Amino acid sequence: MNNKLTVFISSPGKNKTEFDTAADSLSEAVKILKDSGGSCDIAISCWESNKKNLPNIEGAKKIYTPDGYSYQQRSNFLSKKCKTPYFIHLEGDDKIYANFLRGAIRFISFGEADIFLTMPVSVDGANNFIRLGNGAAWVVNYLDDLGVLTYEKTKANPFAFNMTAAIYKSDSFTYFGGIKEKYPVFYMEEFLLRGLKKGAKVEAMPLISVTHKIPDRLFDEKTGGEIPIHQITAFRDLVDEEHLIDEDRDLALLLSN
Amino acid sequence: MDIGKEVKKIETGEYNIAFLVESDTISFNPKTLLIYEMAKKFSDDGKNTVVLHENDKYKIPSWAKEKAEGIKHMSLADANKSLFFGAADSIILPDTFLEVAAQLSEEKIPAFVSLLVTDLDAFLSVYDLGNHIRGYYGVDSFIAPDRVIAGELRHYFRDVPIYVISPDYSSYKMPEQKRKPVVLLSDHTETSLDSFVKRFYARFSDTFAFVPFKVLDRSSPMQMADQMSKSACLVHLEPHNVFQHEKILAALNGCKSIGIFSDTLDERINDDPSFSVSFSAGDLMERVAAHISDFLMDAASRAPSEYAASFDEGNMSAGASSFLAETEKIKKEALVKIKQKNEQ
Repeated sequence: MNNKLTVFISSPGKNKTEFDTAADSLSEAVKILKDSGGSCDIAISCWESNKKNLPNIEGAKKIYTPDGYSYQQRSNFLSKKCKTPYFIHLEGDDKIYANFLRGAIRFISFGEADIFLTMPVSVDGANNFIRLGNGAAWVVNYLDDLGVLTYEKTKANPFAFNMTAAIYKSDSFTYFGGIKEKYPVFYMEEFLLRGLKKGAKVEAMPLISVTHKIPDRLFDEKTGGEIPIHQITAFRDLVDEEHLIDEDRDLALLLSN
Repeated sequence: MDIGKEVKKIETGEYNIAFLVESDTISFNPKTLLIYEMAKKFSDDGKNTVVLHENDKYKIPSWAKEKAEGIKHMSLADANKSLFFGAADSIILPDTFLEVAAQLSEEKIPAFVSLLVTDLDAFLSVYDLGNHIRGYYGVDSFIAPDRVIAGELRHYFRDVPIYVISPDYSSYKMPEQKRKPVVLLSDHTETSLDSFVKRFYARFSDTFAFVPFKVLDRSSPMQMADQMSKSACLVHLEPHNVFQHEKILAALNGCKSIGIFSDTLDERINDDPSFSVSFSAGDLMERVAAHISDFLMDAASRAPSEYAASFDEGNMSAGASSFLAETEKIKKEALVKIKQKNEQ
C-alpha cells in the first residue's frame, strides 16, 4: 500500500532523552492508525555526530543530517528524503495526540491542499496551557471559506496562524522554495505568506495535533538565546517584505542593531 | 349511506384518501414532507389519493416538488364542490388542523379521520380542554412520525389507535465530507440564541473563542443535511425542540444532537451516541464544549449513528402499508356492525 504521509521527527540529538516525548506518543498514534486500517511512513533524524543518541522506533527509518543543522535546515533536508505525497516535521519534544494521524490521513483524503494547518496546543515551559493554535481559521467572517486561508486575509495578520505540526505537500514544499535558512525567527510565517502569494492552497484541519512548548519558538541556535522584543517586532515587519522575495537573504545583522 | 357499497369500496381498495396540507411555506416543513411521501406511497399503491391545499392558488415549495410529482392536487374550495366522502374514505389532517376535524365531525362527514401529530406542543395548543378527541373532534386515529411522539400520544389519548409512519430520510444522507468545528443552533428564538452564544464565549474565552455558531438554515431538507454533514454538532436550546425530525437527519449525517432534557424523551435515545441530553442551560454549554473538545481530539468526521438505522423500524413504506391495512379493517368492522344493527 502506498502511504500518503511521512512523519519526520528531528532534533539535534545532543542527548538520549531529546526524542522521548515524540517517540513515545508517536508509537501510540501509529498503533491507533494501524488498528483503523491505516499506515504511514515514519522517520527519525538527528545530527550525524549524535547517531548513538537516536532511539529505536519500530518501523522508523533513521536519517542523519549534517552537524549544526537548524530546524529550518533539517526541514528542507528531510523534505527531499520524503517519498510520500505529504509530510509532517515534528521536533523531539512535540507530543503527538493519539488519534491525530488517523484523523489527519482521513482529512487529507477529502481533497488536496498544499499546506494543512492543524491545531497544536501551545504550552509554556512549565506545561501550562496557553492556547489552541489556528483558531483564527475557524472564526466566521474572518475568512471567506471557513478553514481556508487566503493571501489577503492572512497577510493582515500572519501571526494569527501557527505552523507547528503543519502537513506539507512534498512537491509544493519544494516548489515554494522551502523554508529560508538564514531567516532567524518567524521563518514559518514567512514561508506561509510566500506560499500563499505563489498560489498555495492552505487549509486548516479541525484536529488537535501536538503539544508544543512556546519558549522553544523564540530560541534559536544562531542567536544563542531569547530575542529581545524590539527585534521580534523588527522581524515581524520584515516578514511583510521578505515573503515577496525568493532569495534567502542574510538578515542576522539586524539582530545586533 | 349505502353500507354495502362502502364495504365493497374497502374490499376493492377503490376508496379516496385525502390529505390536507398547510399553506405553502418556503422553509422546509417535515409535516408536509411526510404528507407528500404518504400520498405518493398510497397513490403508487393504486389508491385514489388527493392532496388538498388550503389556498386556491396553491404553490408547491421547490424542496417538495420531487416528492409531490405524480400526486393529484386540488384546492380545498374545488374539493368542496367535487369531492364527497363516504365511510370507506380516509381524510388525513396535520395536527394544526384539529379544528377542521371538529367541523367534519359536526357536519357528520362519515370518513375515517386521522390526525398527523409531529409536534405535541403545537397539537396541544389547538386542543381545547374538555373536548373529547373522538367524540368532539372525531379523530379516529393518530399518525406519529416517531415512537417518541407515539408514546406520548398513547399516554394521553388511550382509546385512539396510533400508527407510526416515519418520513423517508434515506435520500438526505450526504456523502462524507470535511467536517468543521461549527456548532449549529436549531432554535429560532433570538433571545435564547444570544444568551447561549454569549455565555459560551464568556465561559470558554481561553479555549473555544474560535468556535463558530450558525443558525440552521431550514430552506430545504437537502440544505439542512448538507449543513449537518459539515458541522460538529446540532444544539437544541428549547426542550420541546429536542426530539424531532432534525435529530434523525443529524444522526443520519453523523452530526451529534445536544439538547436540554424533555419529558418526551425516548429511553433508547439516552444510550445513543448521537444524542447528549442536558438538564440545564449551564450543563448544555459544558456538553457542547466537551463535544467540541472530543471532536478536535478525534477525527474530522464521525460515523452515522445506529439510531438512524434503527429509526427505519417505523419506515415510510412499512408504516404506510400497515396504516392502510389496519384502518381498512377498522372501517370495515365499524360498517359491518352498523349493518348488523340496522338489520336487527
